[in-house]
Amino acid sequence: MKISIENLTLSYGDSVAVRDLSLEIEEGEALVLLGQSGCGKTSTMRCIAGLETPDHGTITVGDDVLFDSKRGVNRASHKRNIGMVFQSYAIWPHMTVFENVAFPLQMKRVSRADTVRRVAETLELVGLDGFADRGASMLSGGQMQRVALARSLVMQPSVMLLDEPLSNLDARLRHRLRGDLRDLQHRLGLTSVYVTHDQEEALALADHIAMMQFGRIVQIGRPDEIYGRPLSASIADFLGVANILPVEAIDASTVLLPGTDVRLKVAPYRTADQLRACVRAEDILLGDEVPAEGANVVVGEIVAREFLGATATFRVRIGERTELSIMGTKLQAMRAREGDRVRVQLPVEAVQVLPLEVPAAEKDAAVTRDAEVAA
Amino acid sequence: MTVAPPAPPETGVVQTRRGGRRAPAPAHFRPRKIAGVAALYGILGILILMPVALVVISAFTGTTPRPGNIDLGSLTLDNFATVFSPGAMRAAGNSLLVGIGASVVALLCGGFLAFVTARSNAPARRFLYFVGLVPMFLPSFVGALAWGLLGGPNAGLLNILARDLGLEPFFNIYTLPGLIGVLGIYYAPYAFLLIHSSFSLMNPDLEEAARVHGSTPGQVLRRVTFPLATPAILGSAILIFVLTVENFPVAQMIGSASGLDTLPTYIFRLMNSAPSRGNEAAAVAIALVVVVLVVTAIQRRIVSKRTFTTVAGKGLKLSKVDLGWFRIPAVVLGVFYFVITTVLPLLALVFVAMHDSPYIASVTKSIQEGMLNFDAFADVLASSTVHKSAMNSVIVSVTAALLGTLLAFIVSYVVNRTKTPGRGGLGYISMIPLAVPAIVLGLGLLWTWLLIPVPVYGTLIVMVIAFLAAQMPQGYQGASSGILQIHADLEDSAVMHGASRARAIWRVTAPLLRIPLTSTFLLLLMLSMRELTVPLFLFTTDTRLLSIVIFDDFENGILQSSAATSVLYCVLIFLLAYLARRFGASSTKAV
Repeated sequence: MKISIENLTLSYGDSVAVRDLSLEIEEGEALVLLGQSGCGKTSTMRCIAGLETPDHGTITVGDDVLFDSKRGVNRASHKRNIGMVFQSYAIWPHMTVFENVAFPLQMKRVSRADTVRRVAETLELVGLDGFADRGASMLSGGQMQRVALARSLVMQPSVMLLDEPLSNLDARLRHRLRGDLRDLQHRLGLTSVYVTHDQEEALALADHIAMMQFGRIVQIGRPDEIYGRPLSASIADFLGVANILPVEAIDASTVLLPGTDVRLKVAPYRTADQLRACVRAEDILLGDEVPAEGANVVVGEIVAREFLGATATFRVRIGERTELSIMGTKLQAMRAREGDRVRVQLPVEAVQVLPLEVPAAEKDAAVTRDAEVAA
Repeated sequence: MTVAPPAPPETGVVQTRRGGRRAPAPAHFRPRKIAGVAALYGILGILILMPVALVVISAFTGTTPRPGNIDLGSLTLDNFATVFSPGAMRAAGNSLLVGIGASVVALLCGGFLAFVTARSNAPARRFLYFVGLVPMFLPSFVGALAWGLLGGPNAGLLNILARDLGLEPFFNIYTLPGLIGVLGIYYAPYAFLLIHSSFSLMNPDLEEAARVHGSTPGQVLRRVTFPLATPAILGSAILIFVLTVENFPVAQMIGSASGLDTLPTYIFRLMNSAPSRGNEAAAVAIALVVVVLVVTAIQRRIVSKRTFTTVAGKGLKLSKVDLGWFRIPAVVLGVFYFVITTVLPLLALVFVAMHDSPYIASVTKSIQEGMLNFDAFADVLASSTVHKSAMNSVIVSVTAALLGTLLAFIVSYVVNRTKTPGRGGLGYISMIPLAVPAIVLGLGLLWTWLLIPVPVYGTLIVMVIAFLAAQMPQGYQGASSGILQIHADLEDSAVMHGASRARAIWRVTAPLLRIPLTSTFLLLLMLSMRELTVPLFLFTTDTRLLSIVIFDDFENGILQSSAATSVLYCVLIFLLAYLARRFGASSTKAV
């Protein structure tokens, strides 16, 4: 069911975890709340679950008002019919797999026969048929995750919340379960909210990603939009953009790298106090790849290279205090030497000039930094 | 994927405008929680804060609290003149000597055994571990009673035995060194346990690094091992100092015969003098609390400054120190400790209880001529006083342990699991009795339940209340450590899946806490069974406990019955300890 959140604010004592946040999630959509730890993503999720009581705002699922501070509505968690997979999975170790999954049905006083049938169906759905009588403390991480999923699915929740559902698994399992999760969500048409700090996970799971910083949503959009067009340098940094260079504006499509005489041609940008040129390491051309004639070609010195197997990264110094991180091929890594002078090109379309912070986040960031300095 | 992803809907109305002034949390979401916390404050306030407050008030006024009457008008400092009287100063001096002396004795015994069992190659280390632990299960006042029987200057069994063998009487326990010795050996297990765990959980890398960098085994011990154990050594020294300074029964049983007063016995005598000098007793009590608080504060500073993270988890192979020629003497010393703490005292109790007359002329003759029988035990078992007091002990201990566990669970749940404002204070209040000597708490409880117009004084209910107050810290710590081991998600998850909060606690949290709560219950049961000082001002003839009967009989010179009752009492306590260990041991396996 559709989720609407309006003006949600949550604070713990003096620190504000969620600031005046509004968000709509369409029916059947998977939304990922993405951000660093402490950005308020888990708090937002726990407000939807009813495990935290917000100071302010409304939360509606379908036509049901779950929370409204003005009207004094605050539906208890156990009456919200919202499924939740906890980061720790929270599988009850003193019960069997069957007892774990049957729990929500027992709470709803479903008949014994129906319970048995529905638990069996759900276990099959998540690929755990045959595990019903297994003690819950005997399960592997991946199995626990499936039990947690089944336990929430069996209650036919209106909305599914998943808190870092893959972070406790090893890399290969994470990859596989990610696909399973996405597939299941599509098949059942479940409105889902994920919380994660892992950008790759977010890109793979989401219909929409909401980037959070300092308790608010700073950017929301489809995964390719977020990845391709971050709104600020700090978002770009979080999304793995390796080169974030302070620059000074010259005109609407040119910037200067301070400390050098390098002028970069860039796509048109909006000016702001602190500008950063953001370039992904894989978008920069190196050595032979650089055409004889072209914009934004500079000469630099290789200061370090790191061989990573299929690829290699180079650090190339192009100014006294300016280095670029560039992804190259293993061939280049074998040929190049530290100290070599090379030509590099930053293609115009690969350079995004962005403000350091999204305007709204700027003030919050300043407050947080001041608080850190004071502490 | 065959299904085309749906067209991106219009999402994300991001409001960046700051909301107006944030309204405070709406009051209607919280009243029930706040009422619950307020009720807990009320309970703990009456249980713990009020007794302490009444002692403080009494120290500064001219009259003690009486039913329905508390005097706040006549504030005075006169009572503190008693604190500086020669008698009180002597008692304070004795307390200091006893505390320091007993700590040194306990550290030597406990530290030695800890080192030998944890880190040496001495034979029979498992037996020595048992030896170090056993005195813990013997209530210190039973030890004092037994040593009174053994070491009395004329009628003491050791001296009688010496005369039998044609030697001069050589021993007098009723002296300051005697008191220090008895307290020291019976509090040594605290030092033993703390230092043993420090020695055996040390990270072996630290010692191996010292070896690699050129130290001899002896230098490693001196430069690395012992310095690493300093926090445990200092910590246990201060713990034992506090416990022995506030110990009443041993000081009373050993010290009073020769007119040796310590602060707790001085308070007791002020209370028992006619007319009772309660206000002066309160003033002395405050002095005692101040001593305890100062020492505890010093301990906190030392421990907080010197937490060496040496713990590396069990199962690491720590090198054993080769004792060389000292291997056998080390075991002999351990056996000697076992004899003086456990074997001799128990033998003395059994011997006195079985002797056919209270007067013992010769130990050897009594044994040879078969003057031993079970009459005294039979008398004790048939005695209605013993029956009644045993019943009282069991009823009070079981009730107090049950209610205490429940209250501790509720308080630590509220403190650790909820976000209700003001919950932190509950934790602090729960820990207060730790800093209040038992005799002072007993005094405060007496006045509290005289003052409150509820007719519980003189009933078993007031005993239960007293134990609830006195054992709140242990219960709270036990329940909290259990709750903290269980992830909050487990319970939240039950709520998300349709259980109300109460039901989630009942179905998930409580079953998961079964083992820690059981061991908390058994611990409280043990402590209640052993406690003598707290109920000392509260009992009446009908509500005497076993511990009080033993103490009274000893004080009144009825040694044989006192000894026989103690033997039964010890059997009961060993039984409980066995149960506690069984349940405690199984807790490591499950969950």
